[in-house]
Amino acid sequence: MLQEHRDGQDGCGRVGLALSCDIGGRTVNRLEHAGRRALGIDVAARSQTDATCDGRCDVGHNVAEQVVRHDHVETTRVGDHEDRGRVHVLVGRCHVGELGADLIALKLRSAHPDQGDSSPEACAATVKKVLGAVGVPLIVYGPGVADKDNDVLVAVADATKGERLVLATCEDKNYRTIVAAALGNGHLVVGQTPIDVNLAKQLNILISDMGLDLDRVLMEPTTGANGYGLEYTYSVMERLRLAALMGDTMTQQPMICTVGEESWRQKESRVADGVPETWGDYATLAVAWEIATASALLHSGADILVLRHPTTIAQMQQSISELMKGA
Amino acid sequence: MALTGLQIYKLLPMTNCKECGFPTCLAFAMKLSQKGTELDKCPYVSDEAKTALDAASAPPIKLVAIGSGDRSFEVGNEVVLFRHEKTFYHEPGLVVRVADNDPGLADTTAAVAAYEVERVGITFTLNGIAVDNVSGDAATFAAAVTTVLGGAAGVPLVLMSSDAAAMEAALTIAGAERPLIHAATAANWQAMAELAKKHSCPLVIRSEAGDLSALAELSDNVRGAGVEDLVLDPGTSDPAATLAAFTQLRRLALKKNFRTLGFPLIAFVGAGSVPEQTAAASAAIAKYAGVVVLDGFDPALVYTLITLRLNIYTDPQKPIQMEPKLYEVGTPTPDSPLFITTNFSLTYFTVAGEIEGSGVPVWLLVADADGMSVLTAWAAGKFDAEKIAKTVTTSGITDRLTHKKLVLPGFVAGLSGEVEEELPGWEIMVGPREAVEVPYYLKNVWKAA
Repeated sequence: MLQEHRDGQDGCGRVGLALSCDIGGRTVNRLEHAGRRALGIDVAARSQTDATCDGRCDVGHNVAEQVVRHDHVETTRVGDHEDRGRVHVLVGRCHVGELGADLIALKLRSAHPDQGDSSPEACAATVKKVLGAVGVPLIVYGPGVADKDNDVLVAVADATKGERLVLATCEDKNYRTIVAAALGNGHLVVGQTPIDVNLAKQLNILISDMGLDLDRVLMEPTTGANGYGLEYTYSVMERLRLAALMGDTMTQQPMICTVGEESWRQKESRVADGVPETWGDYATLAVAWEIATASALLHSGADILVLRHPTTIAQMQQSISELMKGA
Repeated sequence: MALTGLQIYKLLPMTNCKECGFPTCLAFAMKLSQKGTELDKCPYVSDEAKTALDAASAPPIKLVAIGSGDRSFEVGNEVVLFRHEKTFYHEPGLVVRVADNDPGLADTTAAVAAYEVERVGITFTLNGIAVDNVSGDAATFAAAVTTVLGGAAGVPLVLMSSDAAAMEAALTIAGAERPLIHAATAANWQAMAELAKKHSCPLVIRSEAGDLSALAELSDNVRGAGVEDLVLDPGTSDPAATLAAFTQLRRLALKKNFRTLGFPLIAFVGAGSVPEQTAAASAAIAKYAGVVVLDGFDPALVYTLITLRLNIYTDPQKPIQMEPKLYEVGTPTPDSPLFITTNFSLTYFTVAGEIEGSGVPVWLLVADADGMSVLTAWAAGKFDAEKIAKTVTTSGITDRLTHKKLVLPGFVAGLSGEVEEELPGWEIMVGPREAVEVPYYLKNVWKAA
């Protein structure tokens, strides 16, 4: 499992069944719990050292703050605007182990044109800093704008040659650039497709046509949160996994789900006031929402869960180790 | 085992009389095999054919009703392992377990009975209360059942005790309500089966540690004693064993047509924390439980699970759609804002819910986008400038407004130019991307405009 923070990192472990995939050149050893699924942490420190996104980091930021407030987890200098630069490092050095994440997902949100538009070089420097501070594998998300993703991820890939990072995400629009960057620098990629079995398969084919080994590709089938399209993701993942088990090599890539980001985006996790009493305690509901999303997707075949709340990470680690017992 | 179209065809008159509404008997048989029509559409079908077809079409997992009256629920009758193969039909009942010696029993009972929550326009309640004979004492158990029955009239019950005498005392009180009896085991099945038969109640049969052979033997025994409505509890205590047993039971029923174990399943999530119960119950909902027993009542847990259950049991073949038309949210006046969105039900209810919450009345125009959400519909070409313009002009809204301003969903902000061209004289405004920002938009951006 991963926990997420905005500029966080996800971790990844070896994946169960026949679908294995190692991430993180330096740290593969600690991931080789055979058959283990991985949990990533989404660290919500949104930005690089430049402080350009103050006040604009709404969602992720709130989340981080809420995390702190409700669980008193130390991680959460994340909420502290001034210290943004330190955050990842802090999270990385001190808390990854405590949180029980296998990898870290780091989202380079400050590179978003509307949220600071920080330069590819600055992003690469941040990634290097995080790499220096944590001992778990790293998944690096671009800001989510295809053009900027290209610039940023290429710079990051070049600056971290041989680290076996996961570059996320490439889509049919921009996969060439990112796959080339992964190829040239020994990294992995996440291929993202819009909740469709055939498109997922097609993107894997395109990526593999460029020469990237299929054991360096993860699939993100596009995650829907509980109550907000989860059933589509759930069924597409079951179909992909069934196809994989039938021997279709182009659907045998491990699946990664951005559970934390999607779950914490929903009203149930964002609004504490003026909601029906029958929703129960806000903090309990928000975490249960993330756990329900993660659990359902785990059962539909997820190999890496990118999570946000420490309680969710602990719970999913427990669920996964219970499920893998005797495996 | 379901018959193929050709097997059914051989049982039909083969006269091609067309009275069933199909051009040939073969076409009718094919449709029957897909469960797309009913056998009684054929006026000439023989009794032998009827018997053969009925036997073959008996559901591989029996439909079992729990409780009586309005709040009773049915589980079972599932036909697939994976929801995308068809759909899951009968949502698992969510039941709250209470101990018979719990001093808070009456309060929990009242809370469970009163619980009601709305989602996508549907009101959901909890499905039942499980009274557990933790005290081991028959009188305490009977007293607890009396309390629950009084405090939660009409709410289905699960009665949990391995002691037949205690169960008898409880059934004397609640037997007429068709409670689910938990459980008949290898040690007590004769007495439990007798009670279930006497009170016409569904019965859980329970083996230990996932022993399915023992479960099959119990099933034969209690059915031999005349009890037909069963629910299975393989007696597993850890998530891996439960998942394995539930999956195996579902496969045996569906793939092997093993009627002995063709019954719905009951899952106990255990007395863990809310996170632990959430994880266990989510797994049970996704993977084959017919009844999910929660430990204690927590509205946050319940609402989360009701939502997940709704997702998993949504028919993947038909997204829930709203009728495309003009909706009035609140009591809009001619100067109220006009929003447009798509007819995916979740989209509609999310947007309408936020508008209601804001207290600002709005005209909400719902376009026919094949039941897709805004972004999906836009990507599929079902929600483009032309469709938006046509929806506006055919809705009759123009005459009911004093302004000509249309608010587009933020996700299709890029369409505003095109829509302006399609709707001369209209001012096209861009609303927020997420519904949750609608109240802010209405109170600030719209007001200012």
